[in-house]
Amino acid sequence: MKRLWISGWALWLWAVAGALGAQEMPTQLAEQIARFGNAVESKPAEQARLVQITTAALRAGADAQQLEALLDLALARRYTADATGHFIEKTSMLLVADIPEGLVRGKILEGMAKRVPADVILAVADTWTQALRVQAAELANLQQSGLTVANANERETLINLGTVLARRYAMGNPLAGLAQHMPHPFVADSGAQLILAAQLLETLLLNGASQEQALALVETSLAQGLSVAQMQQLQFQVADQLRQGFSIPDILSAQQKLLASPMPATEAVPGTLRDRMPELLPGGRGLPTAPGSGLPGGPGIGVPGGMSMPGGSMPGGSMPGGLPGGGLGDLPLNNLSGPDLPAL
Amino acid sequence: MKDTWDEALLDYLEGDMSPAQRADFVAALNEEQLAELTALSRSTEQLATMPDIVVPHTFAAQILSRIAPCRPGLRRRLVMWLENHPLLGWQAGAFSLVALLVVVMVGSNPLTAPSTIDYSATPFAGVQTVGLQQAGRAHFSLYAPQAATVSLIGDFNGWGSVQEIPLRRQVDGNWVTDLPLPTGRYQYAFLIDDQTIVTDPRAEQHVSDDFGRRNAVVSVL
Repeated sequence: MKRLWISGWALWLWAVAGALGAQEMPTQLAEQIARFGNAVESKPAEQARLVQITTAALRAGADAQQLEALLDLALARRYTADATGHFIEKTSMLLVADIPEGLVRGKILEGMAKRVPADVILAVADTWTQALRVQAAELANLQQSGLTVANANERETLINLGTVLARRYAMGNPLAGLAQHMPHPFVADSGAQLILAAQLLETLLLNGASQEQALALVETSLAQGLSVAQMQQLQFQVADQLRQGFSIPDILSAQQKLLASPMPATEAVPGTLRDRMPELLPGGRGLPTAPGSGLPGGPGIGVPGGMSMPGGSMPGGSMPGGLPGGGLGDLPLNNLSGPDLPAL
Repeated sequence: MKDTWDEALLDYLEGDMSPAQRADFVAALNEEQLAELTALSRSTEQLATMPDIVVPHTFAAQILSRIAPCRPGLRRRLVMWLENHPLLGWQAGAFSLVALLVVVMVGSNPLTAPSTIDYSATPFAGVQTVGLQQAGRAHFSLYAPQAATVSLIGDFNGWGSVQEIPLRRQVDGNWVTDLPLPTGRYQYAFLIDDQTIVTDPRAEQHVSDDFGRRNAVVSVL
C-alpha cells in the first residue's frame, strides 16, 4: 500500500516536472496545482491525472489564468483532484472541437461557487455542451447556405445565443428559424443582423413575452431587411421601454405598428422611432423622455463573445451575447469583444 | 414512487452508486429534486467534516442529574385548579371570554392595530437590492444588518474566482457597491459571510441557474 502511495506521488511529480520541462505549463499554474495536491485529499494517481488534463487543456488553447481561477475555486470549495480534472476536461473538450467553451466554464465556476456536488455540475455541463455542439453544427449549415459570419467573435456570439435560446426557452433551431426570415441571398453583414435579432428575441422572452409574441416582432424586423443600425435601434427602444415599465403587449404592438409603417431606407436616425412612439402606444400615452437626452442610437458596446477580465477572459455574460439594448453598438463588427472591465 | 426516490437518493448520498449510475441519476432529476439533492449533499458533506465526539459512560447520568423534578405544566395546573373549584371555574371562564372579546375588538381597530411588520429583526429576511440603471455602471445593495461580510459574485467575476467584489457596509445595515460593467446582461448573487448565497429578490429578472435555484439578472445599458 505504502509502495503504491509513493509510486503515485512519484508519478505525479514526474508529470509536473515533465510538463514544466516541456515549457507547456506556466510556473504559476504548476505551483497552483502543487498547492492543490497538498491541500486536497486525493489519490496521487488522481493528482497526476489532474496535471495531465491541465497540460492537455493548455495545449488545446485554454487560458492559464482561467485555469488558475478554476483551481483556486476548487481548492476553496474542497473539490477533489478527480472532480477538478473532470471540470477542466469538459472545457478543453470543447476547445479541441473548436466550440466556444465560455458558457460551460461559467456554469462549472458557478456550480463550484455554490458548492454544488461535482456530479451535478458535470451533468449540467454535459447538457450545455450538447446544446453548444448542436448550435455550432446549425451555424455551420447556415454559413454553408451563405450566412456571413465576419469573425470568430461573431461565430462565438451566435453559437452562444442559439444555445441559450434553445436551452432556456426550449426553441428547437433558433438560429435557423430566425435566418429563414432574412432576405435571401444573405447580405454582407447578415451574421451581425442575426446576432441582433437573437438578442432582441432573448430580451423579450426574458421579460415575459410568449415565444409567439416575441418571434412575431423579431421575424418581422428581419423580413423587412432592417440594417444593423436599425436593428440595433429597435433593440435599444425595446430595452428602454421595458426599463420604463411599459408592458410587453404594449411594446410589441407599438413596435409592430412602427415596422408596418414605411421605414427609411437608409440608416435609422437616432430618435426617429422614439419620436413616433407616443401616437402609437395604446391610449395615446407618450414615452417619458429622459431629461435632455433622448436616446442615442445605441451606445452599446458588445460583450457578445466574452469580455476581458483582469485575470482572463470570462464567458460572455450570463447569457452570452444577450445584450439588452446596446448590441453591437458603435464598435465595428469585427471587434465584438468588449473593453476590459475597469479595475474595481 | 416516493419510496423509489428516497431509496435512490439514499444510495446517491451514501455513495452506493457507480459513477455511471450517479450521472444517470442526476441527469434524470427535475429542478425540485436537484435542489433537494444539492441541499442534502451539502448537509452530508458538512456532517462528514464534524469531529467525532466520544460520549462518556456517565453521560446519561449527568443529563438526568440536571433535569429538574417534573412539575405539571401551566395548562395541567389550571385544569386541576378548575376541577377543585368548579364554581370559580365558570366565573373565570366567563371573565376570560369577555377579556378575549375586548382584545379582539381592540386589535381589529385600524387605529390601534400595528400597520406594518418589522422584518428587520430576522436575519437576511429584509434583503433588498436595487439593481443598477446608470449607463455603464451597476449599483447593487443588500440589506443585511447581521452580516459580517457581503460580496458580489456573478458571471462578471467568474463567480468570485477571478476577483473579489466586496460590498461596503452602511450605518443603516445596507451593503452597497457600484460596479463599472460593460453593456451586457449578467447573472449574479450575493455571498454573505463567505457561506450563504442569497438571490436578489428585487432583481429586474431571474433565471434558473440549472442547479435548482434562481439567479438574479441585471442588464447594463
